[in-house]
Amino acid sequence: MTRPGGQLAALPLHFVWIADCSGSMAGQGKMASLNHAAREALPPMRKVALENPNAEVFVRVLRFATGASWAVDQPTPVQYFQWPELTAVPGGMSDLGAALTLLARELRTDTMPGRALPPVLVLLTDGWPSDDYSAGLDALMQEPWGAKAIRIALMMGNDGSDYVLRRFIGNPQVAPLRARNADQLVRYIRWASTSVLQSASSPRAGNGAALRPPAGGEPGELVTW
Amino acid sequence: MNPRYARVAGATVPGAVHLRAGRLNQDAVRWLPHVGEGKRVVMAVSDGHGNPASPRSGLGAALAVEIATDVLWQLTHPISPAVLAATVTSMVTRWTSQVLVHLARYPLTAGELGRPSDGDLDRPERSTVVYGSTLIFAVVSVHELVLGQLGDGDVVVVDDTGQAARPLPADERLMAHMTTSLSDDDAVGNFRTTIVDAGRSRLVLLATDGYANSFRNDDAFLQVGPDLLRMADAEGISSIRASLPGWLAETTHEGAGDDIGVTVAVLDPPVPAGTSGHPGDEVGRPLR
Repeated sequence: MTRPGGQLAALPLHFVWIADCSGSMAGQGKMASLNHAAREALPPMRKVALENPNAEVFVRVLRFATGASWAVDQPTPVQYFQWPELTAVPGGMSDLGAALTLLARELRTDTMPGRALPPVLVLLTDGWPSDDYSAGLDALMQEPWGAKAIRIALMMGNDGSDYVLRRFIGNPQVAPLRARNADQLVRYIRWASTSVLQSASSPRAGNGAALRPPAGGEPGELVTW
Repeated sequence: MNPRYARVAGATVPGAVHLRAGRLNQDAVRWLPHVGEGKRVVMAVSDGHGNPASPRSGLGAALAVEIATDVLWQLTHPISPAVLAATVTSMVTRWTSQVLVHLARYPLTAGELGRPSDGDLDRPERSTVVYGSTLIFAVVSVHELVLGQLGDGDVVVVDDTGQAARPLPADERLMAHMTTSLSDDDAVGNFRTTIVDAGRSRLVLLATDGYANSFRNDDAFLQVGPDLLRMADAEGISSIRASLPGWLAETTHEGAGDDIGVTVAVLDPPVPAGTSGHPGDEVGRPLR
């Protein structure tokens, strides 16, 4: 007898990079380092996806400066995903609230499929939000998929507020990451692309409480931001 | 004339993701009578939450199906809404009591909480969360279908024309992997229940959410019930019993990778009006 029922399919897993493209990202090679680190992380990310055939990983990139827009707006299978060359906007602000509001719109239950794994949202920034980020965060958290998402935050450099990142993460057991040089950035982005993705690929991923990032290494090994 | 019998097939398999991670199956299924057929059968499935806050949810699920089927088996026809409500309360009370006794006897270890030492153990706000599980049950007879569900998963009924339907109301809170649970403060109130005339019903399917989540869409999942009914009529319940574990293993490997627990009860077809059965066979002999 043949198996009852129709076509089987892995669960979609939406992975969204939320990248700060404000003017300050042009300084000290931060944007170049981010582009490099994200590209370096792609092969291991694809490998993790292949090793987890029950999750179908789709990647998008959201950028924010003065306002927010999608750099990659279509959920793209990770095997075909290419990191876009992001550029810092000269004089651009850091409108995190606008980015989170835009993201919340894409995570609405009438937009997202009902059957999916909780999304992974990775925030990459180097400073303080310049708009009402709380309103954007509220909009995100009002969406069931936004509230259920595994949210990771990475600060580049010594500026910026851990408080904002902790609010974004919304889980006292997951601390914000702080990369103080390009080497640390590569390690953290690779961790988010692999270990976090691996954990999120499980049907019972929880809220990321078990995630432990790699050690940051000694600041000052390379260029210190 | 021959009475209409209900015949059960059921199985649970570990999820493909859990197998790769070396984790145990946290779903459970059970039915009574154990022989799997009779004029009345009861059955239950349960899905242990399996997240870090519920390290004993596999045990919680096993307890849930044992308690549910034992309690349901004591009921006699007809089952009123008031009796059903009291039955649900009894299930939750017994489950809560038993998991708390277990926790008192066997306190949580550091390993169960994923902590390297046993110094300052985090404890969930409610102790019963440690055993958190869903519960779906059914009493199936020619008279009535008694159905109940707490948390995610599916209850599907197929009639003699092959139409599949979900007789329980949807719970809008169950999205984005959110689920109600036996460990909730208001577990009794969160149950959805119904009693429906068996009428022309032919099949009742109970499944944990790992089953439906493994199909491309809901139509693909709802096709399971009618397919099983055709198979039962053509080849008998025994062939479904033999094949079900393999089908579920294939489903979790090619689908969502979650644990799957399924029970299905097939009712004999209604006897056409004016048709006589076999005289002297009132006790009822299974057709297959």
